[in-house]
Amino acid sequence: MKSHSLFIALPMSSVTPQEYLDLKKKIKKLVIDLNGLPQIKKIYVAGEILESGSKFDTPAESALHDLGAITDCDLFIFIYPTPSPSSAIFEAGYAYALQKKSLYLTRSELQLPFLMRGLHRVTCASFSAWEEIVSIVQNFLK
Amino acid sequence: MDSRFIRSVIALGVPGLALGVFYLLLKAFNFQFSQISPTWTAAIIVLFLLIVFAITLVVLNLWRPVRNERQNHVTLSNEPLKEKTKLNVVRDVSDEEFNELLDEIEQCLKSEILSKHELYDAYISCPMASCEPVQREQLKSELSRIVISIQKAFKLGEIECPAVMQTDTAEHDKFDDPKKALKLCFKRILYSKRFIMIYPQKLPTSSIFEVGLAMAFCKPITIFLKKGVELPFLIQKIDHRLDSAHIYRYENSLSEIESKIAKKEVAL
Repeated sequence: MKSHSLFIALPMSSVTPQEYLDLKKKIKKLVIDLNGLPQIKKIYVAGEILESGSKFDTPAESALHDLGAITDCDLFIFIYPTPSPSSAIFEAGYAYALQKKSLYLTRSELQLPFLMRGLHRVTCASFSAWEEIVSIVQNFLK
Repeated sequence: MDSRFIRSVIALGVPGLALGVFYLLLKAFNFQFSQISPTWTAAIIVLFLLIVFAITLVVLNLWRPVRNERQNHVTLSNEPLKEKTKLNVVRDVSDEEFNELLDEIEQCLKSEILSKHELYDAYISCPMASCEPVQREQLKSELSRIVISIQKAFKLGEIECPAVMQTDTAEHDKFDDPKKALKLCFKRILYSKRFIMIYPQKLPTSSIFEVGLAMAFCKPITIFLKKGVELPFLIQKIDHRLDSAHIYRYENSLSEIESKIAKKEVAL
């Protein structure tokens, strides 16, 4: 039953330190809730390994870990609450090229960079509150 | 002990060393094979060969030479071997995935849109959709000059630059629809020999997505970055990790890029 390895990409380094802490709390809760789903085997969130906004990995280390984890995952989840010039967009491109099964979560599809609005084999869903994400993922995995 | 003898056996590697040790043991105990039966002699020789074989195997496994990980122009530097290997898995796409991709590409090539192109020398990406209309027109003309400059300086033929192609009304319609635009860009990046990105402003742009595509497709990447503008975190040091990636900074105008290209001060 536990068959999915998730990679969660979301803007982390492009937010302010205060926003970062808030975001980190939300992500931690999200990961706990997603881990409760019977279909989820493993979750990778790059931001989870960071202690605070000022203690980022070096870009080279982060890229290496993140790209390796994208290669290994079988479901790529892109959470994009607000438009931001983030590495998560780069990761989405990488995952798309590898034909990873993907779910994009955003407030509105129009917030996505232009090319990401027309992706084949990508499910795009809108969310208004973080609490909704778990049920969206659950429905997606059904 | 004779140092020449030691040097000689060491030069023969593990089997030579084992033979040397065996010889010295026999010599130390003043052992003669003629003292024992031929069956025991054979047994000792077989046992010796098996032990030497096992030791050689273990040694070769522990200290085998590090292989060069260069593949499709991509070499990752300054990273542990284990992690290098992990990244290289990216190049391994299953047959099923590859067939799907080929089907899609084949369909696109058959279509009117892509039938005239099969392989490009370069693909140039530049944020357009998130620019103001006034900036767009200026960018387009500057990009056109950059394309010509690259073609002349590096003697390249076909260069794909969707931003420039949008000046053509027919092409503009295709780029008006994200689904059509994505199909075009995806295939063009895949079929290009190199990927070039121009990043004049910190914008949440499709160009960042395209860098991800190019990276997965193992394309050499060149980024022209305006001074003071920050790239997304993961690609800030892309040139430190990939021999085939380069980041060049320019002060203000795109004409600086044109001039650098003309003088061949950049690597593509």
